[in-house]
Amino acid sequence: MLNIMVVDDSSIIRKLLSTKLEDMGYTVVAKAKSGKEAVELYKEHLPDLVTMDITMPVMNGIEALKQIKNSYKDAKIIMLTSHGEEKQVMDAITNGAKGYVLKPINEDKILEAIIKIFPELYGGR
Amino acid sequence: MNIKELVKFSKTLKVLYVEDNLEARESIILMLNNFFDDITIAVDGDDGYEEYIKYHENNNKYFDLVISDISMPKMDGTEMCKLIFMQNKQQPVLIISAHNESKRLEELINMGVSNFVHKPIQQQKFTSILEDILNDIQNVKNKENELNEIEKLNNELDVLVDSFDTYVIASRTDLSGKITYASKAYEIISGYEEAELLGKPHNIVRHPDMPSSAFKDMWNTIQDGKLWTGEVKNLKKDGSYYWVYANIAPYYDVDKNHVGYSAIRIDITAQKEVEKLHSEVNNLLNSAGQGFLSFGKSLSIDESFSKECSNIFEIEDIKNKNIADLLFTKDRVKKELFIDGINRTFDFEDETTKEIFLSLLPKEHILNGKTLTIEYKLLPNNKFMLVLTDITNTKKLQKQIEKQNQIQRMIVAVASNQNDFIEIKLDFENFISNPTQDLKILLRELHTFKGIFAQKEMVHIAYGIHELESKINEISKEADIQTIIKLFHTHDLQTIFDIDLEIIASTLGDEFLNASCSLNVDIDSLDSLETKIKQFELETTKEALKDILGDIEKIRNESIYHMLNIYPTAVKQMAHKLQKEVYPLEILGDKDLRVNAKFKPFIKSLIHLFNNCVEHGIEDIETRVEYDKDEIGSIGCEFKKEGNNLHLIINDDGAGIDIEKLSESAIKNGVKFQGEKLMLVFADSISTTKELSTTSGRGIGMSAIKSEVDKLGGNIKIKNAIGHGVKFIFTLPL
Repeated sequence: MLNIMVVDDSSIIRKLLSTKLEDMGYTVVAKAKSGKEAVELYKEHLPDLVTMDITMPVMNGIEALKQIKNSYKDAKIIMLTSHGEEKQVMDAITNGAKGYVLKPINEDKILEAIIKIFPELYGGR
Repeated sequence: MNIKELVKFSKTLKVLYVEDNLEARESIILMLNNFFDDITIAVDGDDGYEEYIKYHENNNKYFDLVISDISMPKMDGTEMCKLIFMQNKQQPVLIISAHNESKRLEELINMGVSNFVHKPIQQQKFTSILEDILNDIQNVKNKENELNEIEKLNNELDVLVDSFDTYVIASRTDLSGKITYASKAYEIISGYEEAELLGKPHNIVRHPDMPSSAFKDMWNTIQDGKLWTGEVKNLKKDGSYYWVYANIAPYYDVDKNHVGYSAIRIDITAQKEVEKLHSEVNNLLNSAGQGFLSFGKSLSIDESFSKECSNIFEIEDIKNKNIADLLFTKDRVKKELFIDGINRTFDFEDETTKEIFLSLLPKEHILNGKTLTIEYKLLPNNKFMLVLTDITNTKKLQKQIEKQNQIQRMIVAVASNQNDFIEIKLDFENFISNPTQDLKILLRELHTFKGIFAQKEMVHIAYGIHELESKINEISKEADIQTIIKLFHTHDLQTIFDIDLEIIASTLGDEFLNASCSLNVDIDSLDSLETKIKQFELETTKEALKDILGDIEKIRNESIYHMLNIYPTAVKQMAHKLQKEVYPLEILGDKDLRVNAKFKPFIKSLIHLFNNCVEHGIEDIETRVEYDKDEIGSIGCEFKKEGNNLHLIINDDGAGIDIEKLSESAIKNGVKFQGEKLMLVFADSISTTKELSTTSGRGIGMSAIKSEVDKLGGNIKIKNAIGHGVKFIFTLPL
């Protein structure tokens, strides 16, 4: 099963999303509350997939995405976004994010985003 | 022919010369060489004939002239000529003879040889004879050439006529329009055979789709002696059709008499089919009521777009216009996002990433007062297609349906308890015509009515009160009660209330609004009362009167369960409005327990408590998950009779009351309070929330409950557990 890292500055979202992912049968190997922490934890756990919030203190999601992709070209990162962040999502996609999920999050949306990158997740390893 | 011309001609001829005598041969050849370049020599008749045949085999023609001696070994000249004439009767022959051969000459003449020259040959004589022969040959040759030319022309003409017939859809009619000629091609395309066409009027192939005006025009033109051209749809024998481009003109015979009309046509069925298909696709796109357009990286709109585009953009021709300029006339941020998103799709090859960018572009947009949905599609060759749909009317309709639904809910809420409604209506009308002079009570009652009307979905009056409350709130700090009463009257709540009443009356009828309150009384109680009154007539005592009055009071009593039973719906509506999940409220208690009508204002004031439970008690789902609570909240309502008291318990499993916030708020509002801090929830002007809403949140509602409880001589206890919920216990003397 996939090992996933959840990155979000809101403790509620971290918990809610982790619960949902685990209910869906995935393993949440790490939870990061800032972009900086995400970069560090990525190195430690090398997860198959990252869900990345965009607006975070210390280091935002786009910067974290760039740093992770810089060291790990094949990192699979999905952005968590809100309405009004379309421009940032475009930047993220341009910098190698594999997709995005619009808040509020639900299982269907997460699954859809994961299924879209199935070929890359399971085909290239 | 002079000698020069003669030689020129003779030099082109092929000659066979047959002579056995070497001496004679050499001297004669010397002479022949003056006239001929190409001489084949044979040494006897046998040899001569052999050469003659060989020449024909090789050249597919005969010698132009055969010159021969008569007396020769093996085969003589006569014999050879006989054989040659059998091959070619027309063969020109010149016989060179001796004097003693007259018998043979006769034979040759009979065979048809007409040219002779006697030995010894005299130059002049020979020349003269040769001249005759050559003239003959030339005449024959000329005639042959002429015949050949005619034959060739005839052949060409045949081919031409044949292909005209096969390939040109041609016909002729007489002056009356009856067919006198139809080409093979005409037969094929029309499906009729020639015999079926001849003598028939031309309208045998007329298609019903062709307007008669077209034919009128044609007849006018050709009867005027002019050429008519045009596209014509014709009917095939099998019922299908074909299209032709026709040229029709008057037809004249050799003597220039006008004898009919002649037509040739080109089959344009395929071209017409393509046109039809094209226009069908266009029709589909144009009548879909959607704007279809495409553009490339330059954002310049392509030539083909659907008609609806002109309506949407309010510009007739959007060709070559910049799509971003047209769509986003005001919103610069949206425009930049659009351009940015489109540009980025060009940086990526894979469709998935392209699609992601497209999914981030504006999907709904307001342009020229119209609400549009925008769909984006990738086309081959790096093009985009936009599908624009005007959903303004759909939106309007949705709002209308929503309003209709709201009215329906109001009607249901009102009609489900007419008594209740009439009572509230009378109370409210009384309240607005004679407002209390006590500001606190005024605000409290106003707030209770707002809650009640909101619960009954009477949106106009509920919102009207809300607005009035806001206005009062703005000025209440400085203004005195008279100013507020004045404001109260200018706000004209009755007119606003009438809007809702009119809607109710239009559905339920005026009688519904004008009905007086009724009471269901069971016959037994009435009978018992009647008996008591009859007895009272006989024996008038104070006790008996008290007893009777007590019974009448009891008749007025109502089921407390029934009174409370408006709240399950109210809670459900409130939860729906605030997008919270709450289990259905259940009223628990003895359904037959009847209480005095004086409880009614108290029960009505409870709307504030239930609203508070949903709005401030029950947390949103995410928070509840965070705290490991059931995602769905619970609100409880239970009553029981204990001794002479009624206990009413209302509880929720929400966040509980934040006592610190409550105290802060109380201090800020200058509320003086002693005793249990929790009871501050029932103080005037207290609310821990900053936002105000139509339904709850001004801190007045809860004080209304306290005031009603006081009126009934009861008391309230609160059990608060932060994070787990709150419980209100009302104890009221019956």
